[in-house]
Formats: sequence, C-alpha cells, structure tokens
Amino acid sequence: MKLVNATASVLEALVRHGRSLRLGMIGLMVLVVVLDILKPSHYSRFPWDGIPGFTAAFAFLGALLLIGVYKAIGFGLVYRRPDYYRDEHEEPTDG
Amino acid sequence: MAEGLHLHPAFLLMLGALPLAVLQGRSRQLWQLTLPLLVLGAVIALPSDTTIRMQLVGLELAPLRVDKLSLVFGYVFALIILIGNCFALKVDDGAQHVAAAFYAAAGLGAVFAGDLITLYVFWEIMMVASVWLIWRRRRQAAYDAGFRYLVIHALGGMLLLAGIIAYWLHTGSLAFEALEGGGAAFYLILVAFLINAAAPPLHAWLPDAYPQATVTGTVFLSAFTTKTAVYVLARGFPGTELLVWLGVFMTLYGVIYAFLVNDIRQLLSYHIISQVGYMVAGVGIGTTLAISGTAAHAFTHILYKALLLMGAGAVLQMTGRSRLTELGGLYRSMPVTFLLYMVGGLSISAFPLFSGFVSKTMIIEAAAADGRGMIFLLMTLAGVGTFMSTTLKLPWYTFMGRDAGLRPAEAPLNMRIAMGIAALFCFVIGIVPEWLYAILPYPVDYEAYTAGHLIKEMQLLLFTGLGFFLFLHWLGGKDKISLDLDWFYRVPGRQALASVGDAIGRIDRGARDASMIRFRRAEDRATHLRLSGWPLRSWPTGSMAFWTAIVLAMLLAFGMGE
Repeated sequence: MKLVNATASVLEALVRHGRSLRLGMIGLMVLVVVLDILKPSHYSRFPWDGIPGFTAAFAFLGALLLIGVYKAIGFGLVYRRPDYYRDEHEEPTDG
Repeated sequence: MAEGLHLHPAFLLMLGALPLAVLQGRSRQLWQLTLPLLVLGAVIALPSDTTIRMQLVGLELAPLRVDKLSLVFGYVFALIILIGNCFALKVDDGAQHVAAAFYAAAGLGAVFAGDLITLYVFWEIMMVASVWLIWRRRRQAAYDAGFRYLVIHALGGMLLLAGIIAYWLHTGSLAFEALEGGGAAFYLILVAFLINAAAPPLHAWLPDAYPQATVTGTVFLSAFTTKTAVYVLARGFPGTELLVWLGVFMTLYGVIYAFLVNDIRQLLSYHIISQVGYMVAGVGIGTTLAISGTAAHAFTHILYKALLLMGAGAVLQMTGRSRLTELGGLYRSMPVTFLLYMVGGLSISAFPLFSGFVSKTMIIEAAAADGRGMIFLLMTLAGVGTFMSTTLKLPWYTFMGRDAGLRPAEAPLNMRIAMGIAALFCFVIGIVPEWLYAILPYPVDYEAYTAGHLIKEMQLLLFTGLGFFLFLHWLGGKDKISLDLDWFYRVPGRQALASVGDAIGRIDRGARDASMIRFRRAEDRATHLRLSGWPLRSWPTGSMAFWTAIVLAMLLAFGMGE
C-alpha cells in the first residue's frame, strides 16, 4: 500500500507541475528539430531524408490528417447509438 | 516411428491443465504458477534444429519441429502463459483456466508443427478452446460474440483443411514449409491464415469478440491467435507481395478505428490489428531483416499488448466500466496500474528505451532498405496514430482528464505483479535489444540506437503529442458504437438467414398442405365409392365378354398365345 501511495504522490506532484512539464516538452521539441538541422542525415534513400524537421512536420500534419479522417468516417458513416444492435436483434421478435 | 524423444511443451501443458479443473484455493494457485514455469523450462530445453517425425496411416508427420523461427514464438508464448496465469490467479473458475491452458498449448503446438496435419489439429483446438474465454464472461453479449467468433473461425478451419487436401493432392507432401505461389491450395491456406491474422475484410471477429471476453481471457486471446497466424504466414508465405499492402492497410485501419471506439478494450483490440499489420507487411517484404523484424515485433507485441490489456482489464475489474465516456481521473486511485499501462503505451508507440522501439523500427527499416518509400511513410503515419490513441487518448481519458468521481481500489497484488513482469520485459528489451536480436530467425545487422533514429523518433512522438493536445477537446470518447464489417453478418446476414428460414418454412408448409389436400380427396373418393356400392355391384354378362375379348386380343398381339 505504501508503494501505491508513494506513486500517487509522485503523480500528483507531476500534475501540479504541469506548466513546467509543458515548457520542458516545448524545449525538447525545439531541441530535436535544431539537432536535425545541425546533424546531416545518415540516409539518402528517399528524397525527404535530407530535409531537416521532415519527421516533425510529417507527424504533426499526419496527426491532423488522422483526426480529420476519423471524424469524417465516424460522423459520416459508422457512428450509431449504443443500443443500435440491441434494437436490430429485437426486431424479429417485435415484428 | 519417432526418431527421438523430446518433451513436447504443448502436451505437457495440456496434461498439466487437467488438474486445474478440480484443484481449489491455494493448491490451484500454486499449480497455476508451477505449470507455466515447467512449460517455459520445456521450451528452453528444446534442442534447436530438431525435427521429430512419425508415420501415421501412411502420412509422414512432424509433430515437433524446432528451429529459430518457431523458438522465438515458443519463448514468448511460454512467457505469456506465466504472466497470464499470474494475472488470473484470483479467478475462481476452473473451466476458464483449463480453456486458457488448452488454448495456449494449441498455440505452442501450432508453432512447433512441422507438417500441415499437425498444424490443422492444433489450429482447431485453438479455436474451440479460445471461444470459452469469451463465453465464460457469462453475458448474453459474450455468448453472441463468441458464437460469431466460432462461425468465422470454423469457416477459416474449413478453408485450411480444404487447402491442405489440395496441397497434398498437388504436391504429395504435407511438410509445412514456404508454399509455392499460385494455385487453389496456396490461396485457400493463405485466406485461412489471414482470417486468424484479422486482416480486413476478415477481421471484424477480433474487435467484436475480444472486448466481450473475460478480463483475464482477453490477455490470453491477445497473445495467441493473431501471433500464431503471423508465425504461419512467416513460415508459409514470406515475400508474398500482396501481404505488404494488406499489412500497411491493416496498420492504418486499426488506428483509425481505435480512434472511433469508446470501449477501452475494443480500442486496444483494434490496435492488435494495427500492430499485426506491421508484421504482415514484414512477412510480405520477406527479406531476412523483415522476417527477423516481424518475429521481434511479435515477441515485443505479445508482451506490451498483454500489458495494455491487463491495465484496461484492471480498470474494468475495479470500476466495472470500460467506456472512455464513463472514466477519468483514475490516476489518483490506480496509480501503479496507470504507470504500468504507460510502459505498455510507450512500448507500442516505439518510444526509445521501450521494446517497440527496437522491433517496430526494424520492420520500417526493412521497408526503407527495400526501397519502399510509400510503405515507409504509411507505416510511419500509422505510428502517429498508435501514439495518439493508445498512449495519449486512452490513458488521458481513463486515468487523467475529467474526474469521473470513481475511487476504486488499486488492482490486486497478483495483477500488479503480472503487469510488472510484462513491463519489466518491455523495458529490458528496450534497453538491451541484443538479447532479443540473439534469438531471432536470422542474424540482425541493425542498430536501433543511432543518433539519427533517436532524433527522428523523438520528432515523431513529440509533434504527434503537439497535434493531440492542440485538439484535445475534439478527441474524447463518443457515447456511440462504430459499425464495422461485422455489421454484414449481424444485420443483413441475420435477416438473410431469417428470410431463408421463412422460405424453407413456407415451402414445408405448402408441401404438407398439398399432400393433405390430396389425401383428403382420396379419402372423399373412397367414401363416395363405399357409399355408392359401386365396387360390390354385379357386372353385366356383355361387359364380362367384352373385357375377356380385350385380354385375349392383347395376348395375341404380344405373342403370348404361342
């Protein structure tokens, strides 16, 4: 139980320092892009291998694309109310 | 005759599982931990590059074939049996434990099968045993999902058997090696394997059934069926080009649907499809690096997926809820579960220092080394989705975010220990990948931890995180279900079945009515004849003479009078 409480305390402390964590993450993001600019790519197999920050841009745009695609599929095609199948199953007996 | 005697781990596990049906309390728990250790020892003791052959009714079978490809799956299967049993230690359900053990034994039997008949037998045992892990949830939804699961896998089993017969007739061999391209046997066996690999459009059984299984059963289910399918694909179909694109499609299909669903175990089930997609694509690429990457990713995936499902299962066990819209803020009361879940999340997302980083990147690197730029980009995109849904969305809306007011107790100690063992392996593989690389089918000339890889992977993860947190308010669970291709057999399939039943009923009723009408008419005629007295009437002499003449004429006409 002590371990559980200690873990909970550490997590609470991290949540309290959320702002600092956010700033740290932004700093880390800048750092990995800067390092990519400074360090020439080891690979030249594809046209994008030499573009600094390509992966960062790809990830960000990819995240937006996936969010857009899933929203479109969800609301446009596949979302149904939670009891959708229950109703379908009940149809033959009701009818 | 057997050429040598070795302890087959599958038979050891099957025989050892029988006492679990009757043992109770501490003795059952003790045996539940001892038996997997014995099985693990038996797998480790198997001599590499050994095949045991035997003759059975004129067929040459190889019930035990041990080589590096089968061993890597054997090791991780044995390991997950131990972890799964530790997680299920407090479940007082003998039938479930026996089913889990038979299921795992069949999985082991399938990966050590050297011929197609042995493979088929274990394949079918796997199907029958696994469905009990769904049915033992004892809810109507679980019975229904289990039945649908059984129907699909029975179809797969029939296709496999038909393929094996066709293969035998065509080649005269039953040895399970790489199958030559083309022909009915090739495609029948491939489709059967792809059903178990949950490849679209034959995948819906997985996210339909796994979330309905018991809390502990899902952990076993996540490990064996799809990974056995990955093994048989790697054994039988390396370098099949179709699998490259199918695998990549699976990676993206899985992540898109993982965003759509509201149930945390269903979300993780869709991620099985996504991660198996990497492996299927690796098999399709077929180079030594790709096959080794596939085996490595299967190994790491079994561990981190079990860890993720154990975390989700612990939440379900302790709160009785598994919908994102009903959860939130659990990090306060289930902090250890949260942290261990995150180890699984970071592993599946290929975060440096965790296991997925050293296995998933190997498959992506194999695609790049093979000059497949589009495959490389699409796999990377799927990685973005994996990180967002499994490692950010699910834990955010379950453990962090809005406080749903739930204050459950932390998961029981045995569950935390099971999760801890899996997390430890995820972490150790992540920091010392050489141990994993040493047991792969082919020597690996790949270094995951280069500055270039680290910088690119951190860019990928951090900027995916940026996208996620910018749109956080859009990404919460929706209190809806998402239709998938199981809709076709749940709704129109069910209606078609009902229509066929109605049509058969109508034909049956019509035939019975028609025969009754004829019977009644005959009865009326008989009554009429009886009442009229016609059969008893005396016949006139003229009439008798007339009929006698007719008979005599016929005798003459047919030459019978000679």
